[in-house]
Amino acid sequence: MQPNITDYLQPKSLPEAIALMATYSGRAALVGGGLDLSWRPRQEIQILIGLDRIPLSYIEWRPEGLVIGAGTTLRELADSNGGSYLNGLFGRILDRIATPLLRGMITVGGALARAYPWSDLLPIFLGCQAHITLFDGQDHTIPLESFYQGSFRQLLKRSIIRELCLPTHHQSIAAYQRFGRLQIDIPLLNQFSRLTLVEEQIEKASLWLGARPGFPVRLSEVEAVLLGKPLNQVTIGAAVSVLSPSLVGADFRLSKEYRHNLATVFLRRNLTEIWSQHATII
Amino acid sequence: MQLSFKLNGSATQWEDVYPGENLLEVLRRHDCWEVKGNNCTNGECGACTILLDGIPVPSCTVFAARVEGRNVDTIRLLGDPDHLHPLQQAFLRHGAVQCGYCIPGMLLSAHALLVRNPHPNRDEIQQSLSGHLCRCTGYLQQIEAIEEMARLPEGAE
Repeated sequence: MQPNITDYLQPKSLPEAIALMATYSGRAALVGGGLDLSWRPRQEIQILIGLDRIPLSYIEWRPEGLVIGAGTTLRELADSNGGSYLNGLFGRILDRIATPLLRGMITVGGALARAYPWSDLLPIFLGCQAHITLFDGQDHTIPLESFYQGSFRQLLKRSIIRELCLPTHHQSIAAYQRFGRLQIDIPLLNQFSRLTLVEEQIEKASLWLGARPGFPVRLSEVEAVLLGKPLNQVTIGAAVSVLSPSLVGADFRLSKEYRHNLATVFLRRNLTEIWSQHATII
Repeated sequence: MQLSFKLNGSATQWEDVYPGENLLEVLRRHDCWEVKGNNCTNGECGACTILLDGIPVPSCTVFAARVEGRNVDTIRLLGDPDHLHPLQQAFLRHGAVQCGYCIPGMLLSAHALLVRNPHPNRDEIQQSLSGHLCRCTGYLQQIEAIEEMARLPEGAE
């Protein structure tokens, strides 16, 4: 029971929800799955604006890619054909997040809005160059990376996440590694790598390190080493050698040294896996 | 506030629901004692699991207002002590029930799995039970009970 909450409103459309947010500015919270607010009650919140009656739960393959409504739960996503994104890697990752019970509560919109540094999803979404669509009276679609580079929490005070688009990347191979105390626990470090190989050369690279313990960071220096090179042991070794220890930090779970060591292992494993998958394809 | 929804298939209307209450609190206040009490309070133990439109979720993390117009099922959906569901009987046959605290939640997750996939393999069964903590049995008996149900021809349940 959260006694500070005095009303639960259930708008039927995004314009109605936006109007309610404006009316109760500063003391209202949106409820998708509601897990975050249930875990971390906030005293300043008096009004809950439930999004259940707004059709935000959908998964569609469109020409631009996989489009996921913000109200879609991870369970719905994993059970749908959306799990086949990244040659099925996305579905396998979804199956390893939290527990089936919590996956029935966690929404994609909630994960994007809370943007917890330990998120399993953010490095993947960012690594796939996802686009986010926000509604503030009209729709605005922007790259997810730009969204997080700005003051996104301020933006979300006057707009609602409608959907996320994960673009289709042909000739792209991806791999993901995570480490947690238990399989169902939050990751203590995760790494997502996606490479596009054209005629044996690495044409595009998108590498992200998450739960480091800060917000996910792009491994630009590593990407620079990879671009234009053939994917082999020498290139992988050179890429791993430039992974800077300054990208990771310490917390009560892991030391900085341990995290950096783990990051190099993850990067090597992911690049090797992509190399081996590429060898199978050709 | 007023809450109208279907509880175990019956239209239900409760008048005295507070906007900040979770579903577990509301269910137990209305004598649904079969839903186990506030245990972990953050959805990690699975004891208070209910089915929300057929999907197992921990009721301690669901705002009660969210179930307006929806279907909520507790373990009473399956059976009662005089008319046990075949899945409940299988749990008894395999010695899967000791203190019983986690069992309603496990049964509902197992039921949801079998509805979606009548013949799950062991991996799928284990995955469906992850999130349900049991400190008595070690999980093997529950898994074997569900495997027995999974071996039945479709519709035999």
